[in-house]
Amino acid sequence: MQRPAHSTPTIDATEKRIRRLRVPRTRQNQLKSIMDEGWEKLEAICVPFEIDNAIQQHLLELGYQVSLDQIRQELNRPLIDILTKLREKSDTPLVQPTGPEREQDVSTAG
Amino acid sequence: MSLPPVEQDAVFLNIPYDSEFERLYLAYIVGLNHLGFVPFIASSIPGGERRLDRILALIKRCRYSIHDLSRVELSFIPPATPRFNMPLELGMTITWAKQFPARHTFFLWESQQRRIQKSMSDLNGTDEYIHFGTVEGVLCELRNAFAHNTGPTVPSMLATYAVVLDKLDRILEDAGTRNLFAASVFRDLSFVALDAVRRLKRTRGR
Repeated sequence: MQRPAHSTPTIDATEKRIRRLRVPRTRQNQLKSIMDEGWEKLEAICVPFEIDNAIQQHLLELGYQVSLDQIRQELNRPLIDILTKLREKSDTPLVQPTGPEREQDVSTAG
Repeated sequence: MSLPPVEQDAVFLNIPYDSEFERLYLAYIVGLNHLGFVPFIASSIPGGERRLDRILALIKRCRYSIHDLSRVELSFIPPATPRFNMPLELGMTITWAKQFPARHTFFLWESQQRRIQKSMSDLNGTDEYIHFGTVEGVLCELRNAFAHNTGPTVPSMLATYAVVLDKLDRILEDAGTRNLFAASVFRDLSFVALDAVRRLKRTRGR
């Protein structure tokens, strides 16, 4: 089977693809602002996520045996849950239906 | 007969539009955009023509297609009926790719090894990509199918996936729907995935 020739997208190629989507400028700005919040949150929690082993070690030295799961629970941030659960099999719906619209919108197969 | 132009970076996604598949659908959008490809789904194409005609036109336009057969199964809603839409679209694609091999390449995806050999033994000998029903599996296999060593890493794609997932409610709220497969939501998700690629580039360029 012929394999696709991959090339790492350049900024220009990415900008071209964004233009092809034809998302109105106002919506682009809204989405960027939503994603800004998401990326800031990720950056803020990535440090504790990476150092949870160090926290565990430190607590052990103090005489406390705490599992990594407990440490992550203590941090209590949804993104951590997402990051830790990414490797699990997940076929649960992302969104719950809120009304009759759901049945109208979703067909049963692609 | 004049043939339609082929978009070299376009990938037709033949996937189930059901709630159990939403996470993997999001993974496909994030992963393909990170790898420099443009995903398309049937519902993303505007127009009043018959659905099958729109799908065929889309297959002809796209250089590649992914056929995820992991949820080809009996529907629980009575009467119990096998879901044939995805195999039907795969059949259409195979015919097109056999006629014009330089214009189209298709990929078969499953969640379990050897399931395709059982469900469609005529396809024996065709490479299959197994995602084991996980987001990480989809991203990993996308790299195997579409990227060589220089592509984005799975962790960088997972980071984008996590951020998009965290903000999904806001995106849906703004779109006024809970349907991830709606055309406007698909477009928004493609945009945020591409925006993540742009951010990644800028960070690397610093």
